[in-house]
Amino acid sequence: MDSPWLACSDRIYRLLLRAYPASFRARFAAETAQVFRTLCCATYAESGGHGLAWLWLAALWDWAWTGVTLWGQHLLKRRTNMTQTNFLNRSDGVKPLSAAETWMALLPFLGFGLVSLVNKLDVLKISSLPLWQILIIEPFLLFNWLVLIGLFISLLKGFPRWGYAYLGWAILFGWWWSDMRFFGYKIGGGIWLPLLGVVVLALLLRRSIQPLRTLLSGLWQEWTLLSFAVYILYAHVFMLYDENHNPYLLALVIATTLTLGLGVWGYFRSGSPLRRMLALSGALALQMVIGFINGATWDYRTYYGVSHGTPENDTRIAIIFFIVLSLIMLANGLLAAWWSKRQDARQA
Amino acid sequence: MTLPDKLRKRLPLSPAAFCTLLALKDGNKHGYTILRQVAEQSDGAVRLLPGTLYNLLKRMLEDGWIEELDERPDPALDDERRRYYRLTALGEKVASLEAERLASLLRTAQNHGIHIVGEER
Repeated sequence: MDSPWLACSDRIYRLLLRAYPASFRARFAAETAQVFRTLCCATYAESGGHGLAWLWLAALWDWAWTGVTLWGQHLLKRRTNMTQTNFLNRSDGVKPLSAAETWMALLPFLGFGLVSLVNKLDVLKISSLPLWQILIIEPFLLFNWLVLIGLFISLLKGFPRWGYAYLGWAILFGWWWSDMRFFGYKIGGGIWLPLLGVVVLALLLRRSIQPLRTLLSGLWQEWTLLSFAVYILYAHVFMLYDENHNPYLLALVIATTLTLGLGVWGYFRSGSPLRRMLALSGALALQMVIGFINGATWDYRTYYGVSHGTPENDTRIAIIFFIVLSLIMLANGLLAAWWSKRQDARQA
Repeated sequence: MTLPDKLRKRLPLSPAAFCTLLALKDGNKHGYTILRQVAEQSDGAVRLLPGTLYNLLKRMLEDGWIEELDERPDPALDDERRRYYRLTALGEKVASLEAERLASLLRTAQNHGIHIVGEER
């Protein structure tokens, strides 16, 4: 190829071929460029620069039309693949927990429901007890100790996936109680010390920071844990039924605990991020219905003498809140499924 | 559904696809030779350019109408990056069904008294 025009033409055509789908380029780009180069040489030898110019005009049209059809085939094939491998079932590489492990993840949720129930019943009459006894048997504090024990065991076991449930509740509890007054005492940042102690002790006993690495890498691999963290926050708010004096309160606490527990079960038993998010959103939808039953059976406005707002407004806010939260969760699931699909394609 | 019935569903072929199959019927060829032969056998009516040609070859390979030869040309005699293609039995069947379809159309035209330009009455 003597002419600089031919060399330049070859370079430009190779650049143009980069616009084609990667799968086509990997297999055919070199051949396509080679045939074009041979064609250019033959045309230039026969008709000179004038012939080359005409060839280029035709080649540009051919390049554009081929690009459109190739991308069309590529995208349609992708869509077919997506229907065949249902996007809802697409795994993000997260292994679903066994039934026994899922029970471990479920325990803090059921525990908090139980603690909330005991607190509502006020059977312990703890206000009459000395402080050291209160610190041991106060239902919520007791719950925190149990959560820390669960976290400790999970760290000792190398931090299996159910450990995130305990970690989530431990962090939530620390955040909740650090700003609380307890029988006249301001708890403050001291509430974090037991959590820190548990982590350090477990790592010392293991003589390895591997559980910590597993914890952090798990957060990166399983993006839906962010939604799970938000779910724990709302599970806590819903199960607490703070300042609620509904005559059917105990039934509501039990129903909420079981409903939210169902969401956790679905979350940990699925390998698909979308299914996991649907499990959490579904549980929140059921919780919204329980919330409506609560509103229909107890008028907090009359009870507390609240004059602003209407029950219709409350319903609207609850529905909007649920939709926004569900959309965020589903977006998280979709993002995780998309990312996993992208990783698979890259590996292929 | 029989194999010919399944293949008939893929018809009619585009002139470019049909000419490519015919070019390969004459023997194993690489891309540039296919391109030249298609132009020659159609008297310049079908002129393929590299993009269209390799898009066709890609689809034909996927459908099993043609296959790529394992052997590479001798670097002393030919560019070793060239790949050679061969018509498969399935590809030949498709070409034959398309030819049959075209012949049937031609007969229909003749039965209607259509004179084919270039042929003696």
